[in-house]
Amino acid sequence: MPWFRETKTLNDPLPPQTLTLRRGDRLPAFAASLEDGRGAIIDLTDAAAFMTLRPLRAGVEQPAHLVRLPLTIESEVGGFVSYDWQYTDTADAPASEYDVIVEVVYPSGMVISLPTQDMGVIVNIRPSISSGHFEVDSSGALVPDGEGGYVVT
Amino acid sequence: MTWARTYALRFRPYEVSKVASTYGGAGGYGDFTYGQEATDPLSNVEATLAPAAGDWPNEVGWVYRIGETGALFQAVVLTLDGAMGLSAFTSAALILERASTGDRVVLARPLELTEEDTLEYEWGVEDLVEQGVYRVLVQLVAESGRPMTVSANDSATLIVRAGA
Repeated sequence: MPWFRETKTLNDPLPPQTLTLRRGDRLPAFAASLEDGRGAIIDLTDAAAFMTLRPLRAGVEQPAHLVRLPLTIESEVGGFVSYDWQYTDTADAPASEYDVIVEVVYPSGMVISLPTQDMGVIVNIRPSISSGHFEVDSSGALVPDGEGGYVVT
Repeated sequence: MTWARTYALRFRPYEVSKVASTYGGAGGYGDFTYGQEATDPLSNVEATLAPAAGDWPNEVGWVYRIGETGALFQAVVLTLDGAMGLSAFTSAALILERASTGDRVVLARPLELTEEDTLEYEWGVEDLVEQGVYRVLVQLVAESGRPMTVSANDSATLIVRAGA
């Protein structure tokens, strides 16, 4: 059940790729390669990259803490970036699908934004696993009650 | 008239180690991690939960009857490359929430992470007491404390049928 897809020809639109997380989750991480429309890797030498998650659900305002998240450049010549979700990134985000936009800023001041197509990459943040029923600690894990179960809120 | 250059982002299965790794083990996701044993792999691969092979493979799925304690809850975590190794995780919790009609029933129990990379729980007499279809979620916690939910998209279900 692959959750990402490759296009078959250059004329095929790339269907949205979705990464699903629960509120409070820190895994799986965000990791992606940056390419142009022909599939050529974008060189990230000396560049900085940022990610903004734009909510797609009606009535959800843009969370300020999901704007311009600094990405780690794992490979400059490979065009590979990643982001280590922090607990508050997902815990404080309203449940929604989010359109991912990555900005690459070069020392010259040139900026490119990816992807060009809206909703090309989506992060789906769903309600917390605790269901509002169980207590979670500061890292988002359920709190054991010492009796083989977990603390109920 | 000039052509506009278009750009794309592609997710790729990639295991990124965020802590110092020791040489010797085998990575699971390609050249970058080959030969390294990451103590806390930061996988970006989305995973799904599936029943593990049990002792009585009459039905592929989590199907039980009220009051049943003889059959274990067993699960594996599947990724694109197959069953995910669980060595990087220190604890796991099973959460069941009834999705069928009736009073809300929510249950959370600790899971055992076995050496065979399966998740197991031995039902207690007070666990399976309400008939229904349950949404199954598992929270895995890595050594670093990072939590991960499987299946994050609520695709796993468990059935409790009426007892004798």
